[in-house]
Amino acid sequence: MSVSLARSTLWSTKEPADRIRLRMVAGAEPTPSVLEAAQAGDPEALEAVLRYLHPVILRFLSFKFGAAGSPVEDACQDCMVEIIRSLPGYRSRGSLKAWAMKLSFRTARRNRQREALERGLSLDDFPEAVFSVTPGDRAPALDLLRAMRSLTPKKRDALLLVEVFGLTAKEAAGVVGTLENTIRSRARHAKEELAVALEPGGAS
Amino acid sequence: MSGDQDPVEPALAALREVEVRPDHTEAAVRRALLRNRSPDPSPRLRWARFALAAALLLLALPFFATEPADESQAPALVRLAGGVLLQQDQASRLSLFDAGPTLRVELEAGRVALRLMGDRRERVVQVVAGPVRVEANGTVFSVEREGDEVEVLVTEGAVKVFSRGESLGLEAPRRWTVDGPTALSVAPAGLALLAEEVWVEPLQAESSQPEAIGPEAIGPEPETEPKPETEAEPEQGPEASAKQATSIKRAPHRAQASGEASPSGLRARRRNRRAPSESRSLPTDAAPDPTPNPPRASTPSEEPAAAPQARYQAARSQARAGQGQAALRALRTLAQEAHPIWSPLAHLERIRLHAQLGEAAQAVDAAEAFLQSHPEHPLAPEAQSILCRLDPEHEDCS
Repeated sequence: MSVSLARSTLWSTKEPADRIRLRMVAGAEPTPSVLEAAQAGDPEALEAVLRYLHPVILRFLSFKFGAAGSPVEDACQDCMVEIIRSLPGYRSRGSLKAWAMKLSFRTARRNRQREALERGLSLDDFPEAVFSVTPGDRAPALDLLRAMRSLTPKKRDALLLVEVFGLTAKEAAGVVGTLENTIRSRARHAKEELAVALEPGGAS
Repeated sequence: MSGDQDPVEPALAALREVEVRPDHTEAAVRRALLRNRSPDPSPRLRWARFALAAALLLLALPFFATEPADESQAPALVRLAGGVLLQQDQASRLSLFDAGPTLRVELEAGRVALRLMGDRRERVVQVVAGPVRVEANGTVFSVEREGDEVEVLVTEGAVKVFSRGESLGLEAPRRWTVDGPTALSVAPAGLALLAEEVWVEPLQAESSQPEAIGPEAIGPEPETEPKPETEAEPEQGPEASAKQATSIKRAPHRAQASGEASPSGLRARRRNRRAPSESRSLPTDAAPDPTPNPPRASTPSEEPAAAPQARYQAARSQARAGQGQAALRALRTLAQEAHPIWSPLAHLERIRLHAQLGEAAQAVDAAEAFLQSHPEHPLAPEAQSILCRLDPEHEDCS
């Protein structure tokens, strides 16, 4: 039987949690058994969960605030620590990603460096040491981030959560604490505004 | 918006493809794990929690040594001369001073509930809890203190609260809290809920009886007693509270004879009181109580009705004794049950406890869930107040 190496099947869930050897690359979503092991305190499983969540959080914060550098890195660290502490209480009612983004959303909002984040270094380019971007994607992605600065924070959040990070409207509503329809409406308006801004000769 | 000319979709697709380098993630994960193992970033808070837990443990040690474990959660009931009933939680510590027209209770820690029976306008009862003084006659109220945090609940009559140079009259039903140096805040609450919360039925009701403590058992008023008429802050010097006071440390009160203030009598009075209190109209600024007729009221003889109350109080005692996580587990279980009174109260207590423990994210989650499941509850404003304090930019706070 061939073993598919899809992201979610990189682990053998047949192994006991304490003997799981994690052959995970960044971005792989932990299986329920690994998640369970991480909640029970297994250090390797915890690392694997964090490896999965770190890129999500860092990208989310970078795109949300349009910032890069130490303010974002510090905020991301705060979120990671919050996730480590809260993970035992996670109940798999929604996706792990949505749960982590909800925590991050709130942690970043309370973050002492929030002001630094908001007025911080603008993400005019993707730092080579942090992001991996293909040449073809770089320019349109940066254009989009520049155009997103004209959006209100609420519309920007809705757009990112639904369109970039693939959360359902329900999950996104849980992250920002509003209704599903509100999220859909904000995302739709955001896309309409971006369409105008990104047109040749547009606002951006 | 997904047509061929749409410039947004290709840009979104490009943004989705931006990835974080694995080596960067690896380093960040290591850093987060190391940071998590390092001491708490707020050492002052950690120290304060440790000191509080240690102090509570020291206070509770004598009781552990002399009392059976099954009574450890039961509040003590004390009958003072002149028709004053005093109920004291475990781990609470207080001193009494009798000065003729004034009975003064100095609450150092924990919770005390007072029922002032009959028309006692000629005599004032003062409860001094840190920077807060509460004066009352002919009423039922409780005062709870943890450090500088004081909570006053009034379920019958009225009290007057003096704090930080200000005074405020509280008519039942009211909850008053002071959170450190912040301003006074009064949140309306349902009378029936508060009544349940203030006056706890002793767990060992059948075997316990209040003990009469006459004036001879109470020390004279200290010379430095502040004048009750003034609205100045009560003095807090150690000389004012230490000497000549009768310190009551929680003790079970048992007797063979059944007296006027026996627990069964209390229970009967409470049942009698419940009916009129349900029909009493709340003040105009108080939200209507959505649970005025809990099933328990219609079936007073059913035993299970008492269980949630005891569990709720036990969880609160656990929290006060520093067993926050155990208390949270018990409260979560109770909150998930469908009890009309105690489930929402347990839910709200969870929110408070998470907030006290510094678990802001959990507190916010719990507050959101509370507001979603009990939007019309009389205590919903308090849940929202905590939510907005922890997360001022929350959608519900704008």
